[in-house]
Amino acid sequence: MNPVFLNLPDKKRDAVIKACMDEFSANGFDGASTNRIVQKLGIAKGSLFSYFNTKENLYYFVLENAINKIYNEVKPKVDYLCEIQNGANITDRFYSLTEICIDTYLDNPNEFKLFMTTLESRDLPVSEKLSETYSKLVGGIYINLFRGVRTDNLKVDFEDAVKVLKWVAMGFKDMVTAIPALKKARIKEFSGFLKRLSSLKKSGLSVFSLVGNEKKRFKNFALGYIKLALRVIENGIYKNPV
Amino acid sequence: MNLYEAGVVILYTIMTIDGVIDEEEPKEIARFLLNFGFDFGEGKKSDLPSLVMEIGMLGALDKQSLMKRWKKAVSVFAQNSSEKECEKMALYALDMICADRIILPEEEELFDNLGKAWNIDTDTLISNCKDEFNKGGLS
Repeated sequence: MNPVFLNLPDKKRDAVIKACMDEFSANGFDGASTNRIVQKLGIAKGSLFSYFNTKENLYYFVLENAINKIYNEVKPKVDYLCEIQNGANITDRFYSLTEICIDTYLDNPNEFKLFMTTLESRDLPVSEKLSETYSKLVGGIYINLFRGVRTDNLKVDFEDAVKVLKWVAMGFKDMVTAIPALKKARIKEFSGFLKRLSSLKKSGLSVFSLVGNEKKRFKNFALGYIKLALRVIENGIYKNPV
Repeated sequence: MNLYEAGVVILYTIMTIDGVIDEEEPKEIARFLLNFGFDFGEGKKSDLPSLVMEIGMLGALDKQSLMKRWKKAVSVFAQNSSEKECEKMALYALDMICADRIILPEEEELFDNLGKAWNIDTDTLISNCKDEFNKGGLS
């Protein structure tokens, strides 16, 4: 990247980053148009390419920026949580982490979308370019998520608990098929959530497009769903079915 | 446990076996996570949130439980991948071991364990690595 870009006035630089973030998060790398970006910004295409040379460079810069933003927001919250919840049980920690994640999702929808779609789409080999930045997430956040928690409140095997938590973390997809035991024991409770989720999807809403009250509704919905999953692993899905 | 989760367990165990996490070591897990899909084919890709959870959950395990999970991971990886993919994974493991430029006996033992399970000559790989260190390479 041309250092001229970093020396631009904050307002102008932020506007470029935001316009690029919007475009790439909405359309992915292949579908994104630098013409639309410059049109939105009201600048010449030559200016944009004088800063970044190639579309790929621009993409990596915006992606790196998104990861850093997420890291800077989440890291202090996770550190604080680990400090005040030292010796907490795993389900309390998971619930608190989920709240942090949902808030970060809702406050930074484009950054999250760009990050997730890049890693899932495999459009570009991102490994070498991003390994420095991404390792901050691994070393600073991921490996500390459950460090030092207690697991003695679990009535299910740790392996099963991990499956439930992973399944929750992976979002709402494949929710019923993830653990056959859930099908047997709690399908009635989960079917209510499935119906609500399906109506959310049908209305065209996604976590990335929620505004105002919808954000609050989504958060309540997601946390209710997570509480339910945590109850499953705390109470034991086989021993104590509802 | 799927192929990628197994890969994460293998790297995490090597990373934490000496009780210290060097700042270079998480980079190897990051490289692995960022490369999945490229290294092991589209049909074998895994969801990132699930892998993040795997890394997080491993922090809740004591050493004995972690070693139990390691054994399972070594076996799951071999069952679900080709010989070439096992070799690639062994190289990730080797990079993790060499990341802090110190090869500890515990790390060597784990790598040896991997080599025996996957039929890979890890002794040669480790000794090449040590030679490179002596020459001042692999920085």
